[in-house]
Amino acid sequence: MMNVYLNFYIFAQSAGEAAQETKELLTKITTFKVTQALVIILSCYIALRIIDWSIIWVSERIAREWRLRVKQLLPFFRTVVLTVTIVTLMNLFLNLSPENILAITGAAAVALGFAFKDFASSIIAGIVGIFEGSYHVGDRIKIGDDYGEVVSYGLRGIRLQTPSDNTVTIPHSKIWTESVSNSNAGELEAQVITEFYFAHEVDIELVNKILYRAAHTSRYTQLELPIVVVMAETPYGTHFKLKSYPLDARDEFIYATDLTNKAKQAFAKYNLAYPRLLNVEQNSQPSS
Amino acid sequence: MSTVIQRFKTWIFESRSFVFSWYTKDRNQLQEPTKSLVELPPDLRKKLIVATNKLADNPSDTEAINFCIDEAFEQWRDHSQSAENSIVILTSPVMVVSRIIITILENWAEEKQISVKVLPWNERPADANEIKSKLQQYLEQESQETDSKKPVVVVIPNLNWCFLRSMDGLDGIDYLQKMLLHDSNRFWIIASGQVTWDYLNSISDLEADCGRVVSLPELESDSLKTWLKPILTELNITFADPRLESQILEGNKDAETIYFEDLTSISRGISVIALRAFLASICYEPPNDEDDPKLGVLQARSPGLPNLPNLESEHHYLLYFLLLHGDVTLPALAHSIGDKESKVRKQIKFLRGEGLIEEVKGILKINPIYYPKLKQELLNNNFIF
Repeated sequence: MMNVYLNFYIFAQSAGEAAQETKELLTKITTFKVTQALVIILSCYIALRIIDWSIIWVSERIAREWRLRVKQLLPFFRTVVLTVTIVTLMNLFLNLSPENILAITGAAAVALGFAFKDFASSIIAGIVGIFEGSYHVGDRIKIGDDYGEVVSYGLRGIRLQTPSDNTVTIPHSKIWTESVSNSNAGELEAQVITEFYFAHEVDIELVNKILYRAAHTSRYTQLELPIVVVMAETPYGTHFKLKSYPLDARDEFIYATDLTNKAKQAFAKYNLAYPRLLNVEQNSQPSS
Repeated sequence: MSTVIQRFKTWIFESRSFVFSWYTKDRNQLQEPTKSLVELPPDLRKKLIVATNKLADNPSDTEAINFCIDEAFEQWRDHSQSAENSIVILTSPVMVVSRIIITILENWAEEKQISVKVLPWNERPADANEIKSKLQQYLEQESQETDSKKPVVVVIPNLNWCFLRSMDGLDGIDYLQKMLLHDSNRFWIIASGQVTWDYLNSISDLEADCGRVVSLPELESDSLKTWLKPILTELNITFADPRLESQILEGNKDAETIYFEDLTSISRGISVIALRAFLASICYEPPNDEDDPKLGVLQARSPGLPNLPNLESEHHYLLYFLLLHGDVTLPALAHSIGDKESKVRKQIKFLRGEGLIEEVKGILKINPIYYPKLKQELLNNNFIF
């Protein structure tokens, strides 16, 4: 019985100490401070919207060569605004002595560890991503099954604009586990591979000439970068790949279409043979 | 140190319209160059146009071309087996030198006692498929007409007409390239726009098969002054006070000297741009007393280049293709770009309205006065020059 009272006394004393510590940590919460906090949060939100809008607006209007560089400033400015907001709010409600900061960091780490594990992981990955440079705003990347242009770099994740004009949100934490394939890595150009298939007996020299000419004459081609045709033999035919760069990575699909269109018109002119699926042809033969 | 100061001065001078425009009072007086000629009284405007049409080609351009051709030809004649058998003269894409070359060669052929054959084209064949066959036909016919052992000079006055950037439009260049390599009895004189040359060189290494490649030098301000003197004298054109920034930078120089230095700078030393900017800078000063029966005077104000309108990506491609081909018809342009004629026509309509494109008898060209700014705009948008 005595032991129970002793335990209760110790528990009551430690709870009292914790309450005292919390009291020391928190400043007095007043209506004015709450109002201030709301104004700060609202200002932060407005500032983020203005930054997003103005950087995208400027980048889409200046010379094309500067577009990606300007867009890459977006995560930096967002991080600055968010950091300033968080520090200001903490300063408003907390007594930020060195001991308190240590206590808050520890407590926050535990709380986040349990409650917002994935969220914290994404935020940390986002900060690491800024320095690591796996992707920037304006880059064309592939993470998992999603491919598109990075149009926004947020606290938790990025937004991709896919070729079918969908917006996909991907958390930064994906960079811990998934490989990130970046087509242009901050450059304006990204390689486009256009593939063609022919029968084995096709005139290779002629196909090569047509493919090079298609690239040389397309309005989208960046002629300062290499244009290469590679080929490989497959069981069903000869596989050609035309590797070239458009002036602007954004034009990659329309560029590939233009190349295919030009090349196919020329193939038709020379009546070049496409691969034949022999078993399909045999099956489709009418029985005698 | 003096080089640094000189560079800084040049930079200030070239970007003066931006640097000083906010501080000078005459900012609002900068006339739109394309408008001022229309604002002249009709009789004076007519006189000015007649005087301009009478103006001969700039003698400095003629001399430079003559010198290059002469030197390359003499070397080839002395060592026909070892010396280069061609000369390529490169010009700005808005400048056509075919007329100058043909004029030079009229006397030159007699002087050098040599047979000169000029490709008798004044435009690109309408069907891009026919470029190669027509070239082949002309060159084969020419070789049959002349003694194969006698040297002959073949002139391609405008290489732009020998190709179209399309799947079927580059065979002519392949053919020419082959001819240049294998025919040492012919000396070739080829004139081409710089953009055309850069393009052809990047796709077919044309330079490797050509001999000397020379670019037309930029004109000096004195040369421009001498060239335009007949118009100034005939119409009694005076010079307005230079802009404040020019006065600060140029010190004690007189208005005329400052004017021609400004004109040389903005036109990048290209005569056709200088002439357009000169015409655009002419304005009419009415007599002080309105009852005065005497006519007012023509005055040349500080020369300037018009600003480009807001251009979209599609316009960039179209304008680049126009610079690449020099002059081109609408069907050929649409075929080359790979768009429908109606779509290209709509863009052309907009660009013509803005003054960027000129159309004469169905042939489309870039308005030379826009070229310096257009070049910068296209460079900024990843196009090569």
